[in-house]
Amino acid sequence: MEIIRNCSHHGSTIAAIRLDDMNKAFRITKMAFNEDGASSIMREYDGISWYEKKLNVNNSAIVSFAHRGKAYASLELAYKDGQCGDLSRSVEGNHARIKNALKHHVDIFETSSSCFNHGDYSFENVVFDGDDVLWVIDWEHFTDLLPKGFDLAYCIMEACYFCLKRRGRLTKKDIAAAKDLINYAETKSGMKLIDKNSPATFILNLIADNQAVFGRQVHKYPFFNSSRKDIDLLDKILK
Amino acid sequence: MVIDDILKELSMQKKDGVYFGPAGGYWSNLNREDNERFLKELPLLGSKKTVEKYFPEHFDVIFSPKRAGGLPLLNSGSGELIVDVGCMWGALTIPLARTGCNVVAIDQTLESILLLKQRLMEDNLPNVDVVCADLKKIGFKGSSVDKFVINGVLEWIPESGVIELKKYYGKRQGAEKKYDKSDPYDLQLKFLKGIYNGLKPDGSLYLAIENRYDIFNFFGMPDPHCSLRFITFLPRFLQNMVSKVFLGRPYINWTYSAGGLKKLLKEAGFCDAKISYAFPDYRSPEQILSKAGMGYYRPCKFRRAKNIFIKVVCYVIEDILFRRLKLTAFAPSFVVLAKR
Ligand SMILES: C[S@@+](CC[C@H](N)C(=O)[O-])C[C@H]1O[C@@H](n2cnc3c(N)ncnc32)[C@H](O)[C@@H]1O
Repeated sequence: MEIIRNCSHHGSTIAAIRLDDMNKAFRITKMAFNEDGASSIMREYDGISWYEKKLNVNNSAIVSFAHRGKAYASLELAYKDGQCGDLSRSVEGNHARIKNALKHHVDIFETSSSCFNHGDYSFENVVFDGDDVLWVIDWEHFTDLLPKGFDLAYCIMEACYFCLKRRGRLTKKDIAAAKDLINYAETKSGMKLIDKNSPATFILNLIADNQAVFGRQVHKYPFFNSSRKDIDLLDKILK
Repeated sequence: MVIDDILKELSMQKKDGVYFGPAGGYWSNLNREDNERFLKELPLLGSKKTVEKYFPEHFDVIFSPKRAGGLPLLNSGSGELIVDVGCMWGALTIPLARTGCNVVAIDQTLESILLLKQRLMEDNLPNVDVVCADLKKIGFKGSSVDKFVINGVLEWIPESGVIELKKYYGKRQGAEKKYDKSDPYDLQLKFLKGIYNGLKPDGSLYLAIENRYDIFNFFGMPDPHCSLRFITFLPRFLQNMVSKVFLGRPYINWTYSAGGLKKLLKEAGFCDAKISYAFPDYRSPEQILSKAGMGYYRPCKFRRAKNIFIKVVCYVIEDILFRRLKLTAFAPSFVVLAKR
């Protein structure tokens, strides 16, 4: 193990990364020694297994998985090399990639038989090769307890939120891009995903209503932690 | 009985589930009186509630999963035999036990061990044997143990007597006058040789300790062992002089540079000691990086300092020293994995 990141994001899992001879990450092991962390890892294992089945891959990313009782689990994965979505860029700048992330999601999840969500379908959790989706990571919130389409709405709104927070504003082009993404996701999935009059409040309420699903990690969701002012501003901009 | 297989002492007395070997000193964050009151209520309230009631400031040290951040390095597996030397409250014992290893946890301080015992019972972990003994007075049978864990213990080996950290830390007069008169290096070396002998041929040692040249020592951060400032990085003879002036005894809590640590381990017999660097320290590490991994360093977010100015200064220092220059020589702590 060359790199260990310990309990970041209010979590209680440890992520250990192994580098190859060229100093590039090639394996990631997640480990936890308490119930909180171990249940995350077991969920992640379930999520990836499900995802791989849907993708029909023959080369599983799962190298090994072990758990003991409820308070210990360890999952070793192949490291997917590519670029993760970058939320410090503008919505417009990210438009093509986000669109592909939404398409990928609909292809995988929105089949009539599926009632699952990734649970943390952040743009940052999608790995790209150029603009194409290579893989989706961080499955520890994988669940069948969230309303269908949650991921799609969350993904778009999170990108808008970070654009506002990190860049200070959404330009006209950003707003147009966001609206296009919402329309795209709704058409593609055939669902109504969001209340267009107050989209930020809508997401905040969805997260708050489903707090139990996220557990202690609910605080890592930006909407849940943000001030009323930001939410209202975002609603106003996107209306 | 695992104990008989690994310890030379066969005449250990077992009482209330704890094996007793030759007695040593006392070392605890708590005073003995506090510990006594605490232990009275422990069986009634259970570990979490009692800790919350009597010393909430230590709750995280005891229960936070963060302390076990280095364990992926050890890569321990079900059925292995692991000895946690100087286990204290079991911050690593319990995570190790949860992985399904057989753990032997040894400490001189019965008060700490009793809290560990309680936790083992609550968590239903029968795969741990607990020993109360002085590490300097026991020996391991040859080649019997898969892995040893020494987390924040090596630097305390030269001590003897009573260390009540609460009285001791931050107060110059508080330091224990009693200490082992032998050379600190020799004591540590002898201790490590004992560990080396106990290891199976393919066994390994996990050792975590502060860096003598931790950059923050140069900025006046007190040495957590003797609470003096600007002392860890001095030459040994100067350390002794300073310590004699302020504490009336030589400087014995020897820590090392990466090179010094490697040399010590080599002399004890270990080959191939791989050093990783723990930030902000090994006690609650946020990241542990090897030299090759330093490219992935990020300045630490959480620090104990409350003062925002100090936080910012630390951030800047870390950013320059570790992220840009990758100067591991000044990293706060080491986590070493040494092979027999
Ligand atoms: C800083 S604490 C170690 C903490 C523990 N390993 C952890 O990770 O939480 C040092 C421990 O080493 C023990 N210790 C120090 N010298 C010892 C000796 N000669 N024999 C037995 N235990 C000793 C002390 O009793 C104390 O509990």
